[in-house]
Amino acid sequence: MSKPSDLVQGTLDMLLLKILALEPMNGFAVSQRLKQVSDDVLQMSDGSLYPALHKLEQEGWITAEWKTSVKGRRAKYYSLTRLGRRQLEKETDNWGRLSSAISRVVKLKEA
Amino acid sequence: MRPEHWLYTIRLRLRSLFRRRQADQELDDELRDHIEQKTAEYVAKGMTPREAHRTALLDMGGVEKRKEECRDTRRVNWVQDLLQDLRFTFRMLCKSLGFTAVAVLTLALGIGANTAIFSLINAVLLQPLPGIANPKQLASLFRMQKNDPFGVNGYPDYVDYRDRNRSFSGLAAHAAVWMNLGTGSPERIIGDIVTGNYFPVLGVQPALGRLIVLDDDTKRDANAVVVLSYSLWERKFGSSRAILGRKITLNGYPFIVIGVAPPRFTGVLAALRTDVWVPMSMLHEGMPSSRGQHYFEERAWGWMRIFGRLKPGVSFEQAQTDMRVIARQLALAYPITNTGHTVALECGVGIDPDDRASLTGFLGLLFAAVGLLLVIACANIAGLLLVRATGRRREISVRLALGATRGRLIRQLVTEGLFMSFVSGALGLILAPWIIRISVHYAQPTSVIRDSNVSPDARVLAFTLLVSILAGVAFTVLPALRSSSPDILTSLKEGAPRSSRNQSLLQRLLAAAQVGASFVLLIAAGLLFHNMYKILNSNPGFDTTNIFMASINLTMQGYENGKDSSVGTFRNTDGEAVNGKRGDVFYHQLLERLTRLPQVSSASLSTSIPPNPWPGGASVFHPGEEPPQNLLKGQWFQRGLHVNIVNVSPYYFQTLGIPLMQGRDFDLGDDETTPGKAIVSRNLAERMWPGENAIGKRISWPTVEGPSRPRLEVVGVAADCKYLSLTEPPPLIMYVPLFQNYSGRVTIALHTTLPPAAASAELRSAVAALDKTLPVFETKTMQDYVGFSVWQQKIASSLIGAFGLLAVFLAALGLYGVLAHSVSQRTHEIGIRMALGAQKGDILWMVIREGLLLAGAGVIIGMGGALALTRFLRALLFEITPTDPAALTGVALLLALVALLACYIPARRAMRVDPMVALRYE
Repeated sequence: MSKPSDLVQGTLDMLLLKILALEPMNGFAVSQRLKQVSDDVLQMSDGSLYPALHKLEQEGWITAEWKTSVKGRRAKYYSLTRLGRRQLEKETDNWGRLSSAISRVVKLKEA
Repeated sequence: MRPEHWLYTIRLRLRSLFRRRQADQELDDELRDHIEQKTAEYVAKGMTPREAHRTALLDMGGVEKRKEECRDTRRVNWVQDLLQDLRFTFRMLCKSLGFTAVAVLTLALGIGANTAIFSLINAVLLQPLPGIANPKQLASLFRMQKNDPFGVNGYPDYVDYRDRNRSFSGLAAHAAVWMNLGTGSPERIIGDIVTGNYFPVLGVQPALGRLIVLDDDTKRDANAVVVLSYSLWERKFGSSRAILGRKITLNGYPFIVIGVAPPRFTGVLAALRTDVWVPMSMLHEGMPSSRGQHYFEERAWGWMRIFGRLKPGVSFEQAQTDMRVIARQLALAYPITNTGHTVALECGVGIDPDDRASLTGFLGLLFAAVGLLLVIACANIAGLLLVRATGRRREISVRLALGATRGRLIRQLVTEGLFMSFVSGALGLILAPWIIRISVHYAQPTSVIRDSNVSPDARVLAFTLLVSILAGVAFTVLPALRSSSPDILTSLKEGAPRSSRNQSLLQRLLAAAQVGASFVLLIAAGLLFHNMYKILNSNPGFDTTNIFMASINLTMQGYENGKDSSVGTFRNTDGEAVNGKRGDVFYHQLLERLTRLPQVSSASLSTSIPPNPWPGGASVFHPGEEPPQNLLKGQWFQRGLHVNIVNVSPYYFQTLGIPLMQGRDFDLGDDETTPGKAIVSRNLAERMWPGENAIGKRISWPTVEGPSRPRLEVVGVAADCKYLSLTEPPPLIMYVPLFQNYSGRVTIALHTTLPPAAASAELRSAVAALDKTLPVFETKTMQDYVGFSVWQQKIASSLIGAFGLLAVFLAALGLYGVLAHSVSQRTHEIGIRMALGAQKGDILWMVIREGLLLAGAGVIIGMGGALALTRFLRALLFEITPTDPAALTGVALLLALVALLACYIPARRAMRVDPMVALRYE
């Protein structure tokens, strides 16, 4: 669904899908994990996180479930659907092609 | 989007729509949870709880805004907007109930009338006959000759077409006839005599038992089997399964019931519903008049309808070419009978092409009329909406000022319009059956329209929906565009001009258009009515009042002509042998009884009563000029002088009021023992013996088949009359004595002052006194009979007249609306005028002049429309005097009068304006 030209949007979707592919988690955990794994390089504002998650849910790529966490809090846990897994593969492929193309171009300049 | 994906997401959309509150609550909880965790994190980093909470909120960047963003991802906002619009619409419409009621009812009548006429068109012209498999593969085959296009076919021709063609997987034939069902109370039913492949070609499966198959149609007179229609089975035999294998009597002959047709299948006669089917091999029993005749051998006699199923891959045109080649081969092989014959294929089965053409014109006319009515209704509501929009300017300006986009406002206004038109559409669907019933009320007893299935199907519903949407959009778009235009903002400023020039011009145009359209409708109705009046009141040459008639069929009842002994033993409805019952004796006794009835001045029996488009026919010659018989056979219409033949008893002319100009009437002495006599119409005498006295002249009418008939002596000359129809000139007629030329089916005519019900009772009791099981049918007065012959004009003129009056009423409302609005807008101006010395009369005239100008403009528009319309009417349907000055003036005057009435109330209000009040008001 994401438009190829919309790089940032597409990339954000891919990152969220990737994180959720590892294990189901709630929104807060997603934001923590994103910071963690990218060594604080990718900072996502809390404000844009939730609309993004809801959009993925409405697309049918992730699904949500209310669960009680280990700390005894009720929280909304997101997990990847079959459709989402397919979408992640597609976007990862796209990203791979795009980033290798970009790095080729960048290297060309350096040489 | 892939289907699985779609299936998955639709659940989410529905949840967002219908469990919105829960979804919102969850969204709330989710975000609060996040804030709490974030706060806890900040506290852990050493912030005060208060500070931590604030920072967490700031990170989120406005909780409500984020919530709205999350909701936006649900993609169902438009539905919610629509619901909101609808709620608002409902409130607005409830606030002005009067307006809403008028608009909705107006539109409901318009949509109802359109639905009704479309249902008729759908039932008569669009729908294939029900219960037939793949009706699109079927085609009907007609014999074409110069004088008789779209004719029926003879049996030997049918066999050749069936066996030689390469285009049809099956070619079937059938002949529909009245039959006398003798089981239970005697009743006349519709039977279809069909070839063995009839049901297989149609692809019909039995509801019970089996249908007629090829084996039933092999040995002549040996397979007395019958298939019942589902409705006859229900009505007459109580849906009993035990009927299979039992015998029922048809035309006094026992037939074994082998099966019941499925409920949906009603036969292939568009105009009639078939009650029973019998195999072609039983023609002589199914159609007793065919006994002793050569129906299966004679090529020249057309009596069967042929239809077939095209082979897969064969186009209609290929089949037509194929059949025409066969027709040419037949013309070469049988020059005497088939010269000049060709064939035409028509798509489908059921309605005949010439019927289709005349019905298309007729229904097209009605459709145009209701279309016009709907246009008027829409213009009317558009006018009302414009007036109302002025009242809503303040509301709309406020909404625009508060940031509503113009698109959103138009959407709201169109929603209001569509809501009203949907309610009207639903009401219209309820009204439509009533309108249909009224229009069908006049239809001929056997007309296609009356017996068609007019219950609304998917197509009719779709049509009504479409009309509702179109109407809704049509009457809202203009007012919506006008009232949401940005310049409306000025109206927020007090004292700005209250109505823009454009708007009132638009209103005026709409009002004038309504007057014009109703003018066209009234003119059409007036012309049709005048035409009908002229037809009914022109002297047809026979009496149209005080005549009562009924028919009987002795042949079906097993009677025979005394002389003719070739007819075998028959059984009557009680199953007893009636060999020897003599029809001519019965007629003598019946005539005697009838003439003795009270208040009956004369009575007669005959094979036909005018106006009858198809009395019998024959070719007549001067003695000695007859062609050899084999030549006569095929060239029936080309040889001699073709005349209409009517077999009549004594007193026929007296009973029908046809004057005898010369000679004498037939008397009881003109029977089979005396030489043949004839009475000719005046024009026939003129054609045969110009300038001579016809009395005593001899005339020859050789038969096509069998022994030649003796020449007839002319004993009288009758005045010409419009025998075939009231709109056709008098035809050539030769009357022959019934007692010299027996017919088993006659029409009884009584000249009587009795009211119809009493006449019917007297007539029935006279018949019953002679044979109490003989059915009497088609009882009616001459007035009704003549009325039937102009049923198209009658329906068209009364329906269009009713629509026209409705249209005038609407136009008057429209006119009133415009003027009332204009007066209220000009109160200030009128006040000034009066203050400056204008008299009340001047003010009155000012308003009335405005109204009359509008009406006049409308009439001029209407005149143009009416001229185009009369051309259309004349080309399509009836003989219409192109421009009837009386009708034009009459309608124009009527409209002027209505316009005056519509002006009067606003004019009086204007007159009563108190200048002091008017001026102070500002």
